[in-house]
Amino acid sequence: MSTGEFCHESAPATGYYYDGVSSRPLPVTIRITDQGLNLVVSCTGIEPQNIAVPRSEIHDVEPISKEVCIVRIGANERVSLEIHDTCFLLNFRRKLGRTRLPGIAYSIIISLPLLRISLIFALVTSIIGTGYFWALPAIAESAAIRTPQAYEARIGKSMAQHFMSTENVDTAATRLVGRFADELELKGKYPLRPIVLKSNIPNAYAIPGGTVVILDSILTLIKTSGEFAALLAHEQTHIEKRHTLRIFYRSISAFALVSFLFGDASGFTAILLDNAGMLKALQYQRAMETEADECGARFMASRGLDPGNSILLLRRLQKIPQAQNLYQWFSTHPALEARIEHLAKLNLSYSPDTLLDENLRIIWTDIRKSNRPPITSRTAKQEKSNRLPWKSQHKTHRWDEHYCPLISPGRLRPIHSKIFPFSTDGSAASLIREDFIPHW
Amino acid sequence: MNSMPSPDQEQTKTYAVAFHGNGAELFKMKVVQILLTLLTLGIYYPWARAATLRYIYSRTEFAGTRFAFHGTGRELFRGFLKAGLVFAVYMGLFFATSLVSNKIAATVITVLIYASFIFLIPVAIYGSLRYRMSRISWRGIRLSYVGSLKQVVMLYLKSVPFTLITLGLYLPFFQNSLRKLLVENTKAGNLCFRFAGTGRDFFAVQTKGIILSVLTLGIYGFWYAKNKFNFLFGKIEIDQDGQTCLVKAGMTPTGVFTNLAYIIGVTVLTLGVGLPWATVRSIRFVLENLRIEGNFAPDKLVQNVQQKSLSATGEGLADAFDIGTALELP
Repeated sequence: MSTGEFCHESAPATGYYYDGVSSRPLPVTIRITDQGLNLVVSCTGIEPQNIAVPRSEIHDVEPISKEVCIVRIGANERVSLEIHDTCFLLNFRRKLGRTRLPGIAYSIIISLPLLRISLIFALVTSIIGTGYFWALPAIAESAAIRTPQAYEARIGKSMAQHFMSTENVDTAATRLVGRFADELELKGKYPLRPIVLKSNIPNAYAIPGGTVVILDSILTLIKTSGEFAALLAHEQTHIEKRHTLRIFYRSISAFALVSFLFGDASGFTAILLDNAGMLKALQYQRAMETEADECGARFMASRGLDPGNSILLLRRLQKIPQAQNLYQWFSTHPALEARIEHLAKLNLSYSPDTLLDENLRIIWTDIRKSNRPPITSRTAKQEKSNRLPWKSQHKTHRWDEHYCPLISPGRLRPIHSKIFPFSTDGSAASLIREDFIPHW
Repeated sequence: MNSMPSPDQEQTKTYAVAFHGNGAELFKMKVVQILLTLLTLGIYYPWARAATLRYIYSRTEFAGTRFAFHGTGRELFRGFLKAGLVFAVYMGLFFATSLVSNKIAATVITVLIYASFIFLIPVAIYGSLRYRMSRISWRGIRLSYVGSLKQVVMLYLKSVPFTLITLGLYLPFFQNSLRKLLVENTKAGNLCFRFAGTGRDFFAVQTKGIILSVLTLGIYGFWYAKNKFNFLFGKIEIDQDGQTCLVKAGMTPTGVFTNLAYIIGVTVLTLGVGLPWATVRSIRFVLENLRIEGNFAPDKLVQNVQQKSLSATGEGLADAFDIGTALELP
């Protein structure tokens, strides 16, 4: 074995030759020439065999340790040499250049010092990470906002149909909640379509396109019509601001990017990136919930309903056992206390609309009774027309972005105004409206 | 490197497997590979995989000589593209099913899609093994898988429904049959392999292992892992020109525990940066618990089967669906 301190190009190297037919190692002496390699292969009892290997036949010279490298030769790399010479690789590259493996880009980068490689790696991953955590959500949000309303409605319709076909719909409660929503005049870009499903879990959620799914257990939890109005206003905000669609787009884009970048996004990598994404999504959803709370309260105030009902609703939710056990860090809904505090810091005033309040209270009573017909004295004609026993001719209030300007999740912040409870500024004299015409 | 034994010394001898990999080398490789994969938006992945396999096999030594992996990134890339197509077809089918309004029809279609995995998995296993074996050599002698796809598919068709019917009780028998089929159709030149394990023995290992692991809250798991490994590898016999050698598997529960503790500790404490060291340690632990005993003549292997260029689609499918055969290195 050659172990000279400097590498002489013409010094022969020794090793073993494997012909690809037998596993018997044949001692070989190798010289590097301008055209390739000259091999002198020794076989016991046979004259040494001279083999000239042209450069084009040499596929790979792979160092496997400081002293040993493997040379692969011929079609399908059938023949191989195991060379025991510390200088062979250096001499080979000097005279015959690099082989095609493992690739120019790879060879260049791997030859750099580890520190430089690590710095390049850190830079690239920082760029990717920035894209994943900031650019990607921005792109996803932009795409969601630009999604045609008709397409969003189709998505929502499919999801709603799925619920209708697979879950137990409370048709009576659904109709009554629809009347409640009509009376509340929650109108915006999307007509509100509530569905009440029978479930043991108190919850409500918004589907793109205007459908609000209400699980009927929450109807027993909520005590007043004001709280229910606050719930509907909250969910309507999710719909109007396209929160669900934005989360959906963001999830898909994150998954697509991870799969595309890493190819094999299984195992540890997927868990790590999925959790990182989940944390970012949690922040995204928290901002959305805060926005829905605030806009819902503002809507209530604009309609003459006590926005304090939003706080009362959250206090009801606090009584749900799982709500108390949720840790803020791993919850898609920010801790209820933080939301209550945020709402309490708003300085919202409102002019009470007692007529609307009364109408809502009547419908709410019917909702609570749900399976029984409403206990009110109505004429058959009124029942048939499915309208309230009196006409409300107050001015129609439409959902207007003026009441809740679009607030981006990143810029959402609590309004640090004076910490006052909700206040009213109307007097009792305005409670009875002149255009109120009862029809008993 | 071990010195070459003379013919006189080839009688009964023990040949151990050694792994000369290095965590630092693998780390540097992985960093560069991840970098190139990110910069090429994932396209470089097949080349990275080929380079990793080349590294792992070239650092594995048996009877004084290293293995070699001859697969290329280009082959794997083509295979991955085809596997990606299959994957896309399945995703498309699932998506199309979600649009079917008829609930019964949607359920039937979904069941049929999942049932088709009975064909897809054996295809992936067969293709992957055939490709991988054909690209591994030792002293110039290529390994090969000479079985047919039909054998693997028929085994799956027969065993999967029976496993479902028996609620999994037949699974050890199925796994044993599969292992026997794959091992006995693997050749290394004129070396033939046999698998002497029986379904009943494997069932005993699995049942005892699972029950005791549950009862001991996982503590018996280390003995279970040892028993399973020693069964899967210790039952392999090698036939060379009429002479039989045995593969000896000598894993111990202590070794399993130490290895697992090292892997978890290094990976978790370094937040994944130490994964290459954990990989090297893991491979070394598995390989160095294997040895061949008997009248094995390492100089007398002869290449008798040459497989022509094989597609790496099976390798791609196995990678995409995370299917392994436990016969090859990761």
